[in-house]
Amino acid sequence: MNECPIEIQLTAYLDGELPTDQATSVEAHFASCPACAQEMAALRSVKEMEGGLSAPEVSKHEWDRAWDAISKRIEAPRRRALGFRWRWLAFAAAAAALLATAASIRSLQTRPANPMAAVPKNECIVDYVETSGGYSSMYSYSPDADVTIITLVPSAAPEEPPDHASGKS
Amino acid sequence: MSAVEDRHDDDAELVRRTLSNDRDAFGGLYERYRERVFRVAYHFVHNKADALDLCQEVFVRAYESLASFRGEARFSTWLMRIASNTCVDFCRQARVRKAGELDEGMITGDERLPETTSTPRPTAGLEREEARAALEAAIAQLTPEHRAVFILHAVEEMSYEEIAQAVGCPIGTVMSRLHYARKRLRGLLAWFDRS
Repeated sequence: MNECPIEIQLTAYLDGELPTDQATSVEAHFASCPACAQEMAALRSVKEMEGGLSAPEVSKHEWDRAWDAISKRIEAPRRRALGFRWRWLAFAAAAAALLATAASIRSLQTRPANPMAAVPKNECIVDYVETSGGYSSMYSYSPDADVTIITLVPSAAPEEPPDHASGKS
Repeated sequence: MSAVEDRHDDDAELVRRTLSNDRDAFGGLYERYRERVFRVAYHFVHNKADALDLCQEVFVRAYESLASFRGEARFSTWLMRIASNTCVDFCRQARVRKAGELDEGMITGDERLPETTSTPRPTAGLEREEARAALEAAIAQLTPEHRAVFILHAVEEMSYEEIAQAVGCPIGTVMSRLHYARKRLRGLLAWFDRS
């Protein structure tokens, strides 16, 4: 290797992460390049300090307390999920009951209570009801079409009494 | 079968039992990896109480996402990914300061430890403890992403490939970040070179 290796190769060489052929080339380069040799020495000094890194001891009590906290956090979502499931079931049951009740009420309101509900389809029932004011009402109801027609017709005029005074008969 | 493969199979069995609602199985995974997770967290935040809180967070996240562990990588690598992400998230959300030591604003352009630190300027016979403390303080000056790669390699002795899987980036990026981290640390600790 005539040119200086790229810097990150120095770190990889230091950590033994370079393939063998590249590592051999880098080693040969150090022998002839004081700058790279100095850079490698500086990186090695940092790496040697890494071995001194340590963490404080954790007691059994501290580990157990941490585990208790973890267990509670893990358990909490399961309890919430179970509670939510029961609440959802109760809500669904209430909603179903409400819908059934509404459907019943709707069913009762759809057909007026009248004896003509049992009338077969395609038949019309005509009823004749005499009203006052010189008119009679007639209404016909078709169960099939769910239509009620009300017709007002003038009542028949009463016959004029004979005019005995004029002698006409 | 090697010891590593045995452990891998053991981890897979514990994962399977945990997913079958065996809480003791997850406790087994906790006991097996709690110290590794704690070490990583501690070197991120350099505070024991915060590190224990982060350790809890890591295991809760691991439990919640355990169904997504497919067994393609080792469980330890998968767990280290969660630990790394959790610690990086923590550091991004909070400014990590070591009271009485380095302050970010005090790092000058020549990247030397400032004269005003409470640690006296070392002589040639620098105490190991002072060197360790200085290195810990310098690590805290790295960005979370560089800190993650450096800690996983220096503390957990993970290979570049394992680190790449843990942090979710190419091996080249791992190499680059680790190199930059060491150069930055070297600059921050320049007075060590002189001694």
